[in-house]
Amino acid sequence: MSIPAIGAIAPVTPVLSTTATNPASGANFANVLANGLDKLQQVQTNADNLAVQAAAGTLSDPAQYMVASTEASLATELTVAIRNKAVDAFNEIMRMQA
Amino acid sequence: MFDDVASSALRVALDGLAARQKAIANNIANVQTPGFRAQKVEFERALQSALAGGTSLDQVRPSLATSLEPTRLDGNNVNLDEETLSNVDTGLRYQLALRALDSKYTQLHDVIKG
Amino acid sequence: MAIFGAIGIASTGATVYRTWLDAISDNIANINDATSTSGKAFQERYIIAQPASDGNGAQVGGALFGSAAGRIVYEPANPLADAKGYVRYPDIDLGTNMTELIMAQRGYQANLAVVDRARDAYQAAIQLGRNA
Repeated sequence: MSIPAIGAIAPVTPVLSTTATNPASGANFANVLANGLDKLQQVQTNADNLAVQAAAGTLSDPAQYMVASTEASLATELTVAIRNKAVDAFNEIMRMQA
Repeated sequence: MFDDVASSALRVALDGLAARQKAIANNIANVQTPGFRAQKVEFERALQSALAGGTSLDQVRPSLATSLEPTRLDGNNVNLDEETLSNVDTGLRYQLALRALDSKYTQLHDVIKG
Repeated sequence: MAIFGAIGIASTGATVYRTWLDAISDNIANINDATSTSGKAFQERYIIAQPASDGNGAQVGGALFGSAAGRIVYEPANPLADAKGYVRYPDIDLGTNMTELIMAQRGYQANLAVVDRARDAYQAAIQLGRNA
């Protein structure tokens, strides 16, 4: 069996310059917060409807209601946290001397 | 603040489920009593028709009905398996309704306390 | 009354198996009932299990009775013996009934195990989101 000779090392191809990190990733998180605020009403209504079904005995899957209720609590807490931060920021600005 | 449909429906459900627990305990205690007929508590159908019709939920009350199951030789018609398992089911429903009301009240707390 | 699915279905199954247990215990208790040849022997009872009419679980569809002829045994000393000394005994096989007793008991336990698992699952669902 013949062993092939070791060939010359191929030249290294230059690495393509990396594109800058997608600046939209910062905006994605902002989108998450904005969506959370918009959907608060919808999420709470959904949880309320499922609660009524659970009370009337027509709900076949309790996990469905628990998921909806957890989503509603989280959305409420998010909205309250954002409101608090906004109020704090407003107070900071008002405190600044002219 | 506490009168929305979901909270009222949950309160009606809690009343009805507590009444059902009592009826089940009574049935199980009387499983050997001759001539005893099992009692069932009904509130779900009344609640559903009140919700569908849009009438006030404060008027919905749990009602007692006598079971028409066939009796055994001693005149007793309590089905022990059905009562025991209905007990489990009622307990779970009660926990679910309590959790639901709890989560609504916690949300109100959050919003008020800020 | 609406019942959480699995628990309601297991409840109908438990009722069917309990009815079967009652029938088997009745058969075994009466296995040596002697009657005169002019009457009928004690008839073995069979329970018919069928799917429930509303599609959820099982129900007892009725009962069938075994043969009334039974076995004719020569026992002249028995006060019920006829002129030729024969008495009628039920045609019930103890071995078969003991086997069925075990099957009925296991079926009953299996239905209760279903209820246990379903209850654990529902309780885990109710605890969802509790650690907030």
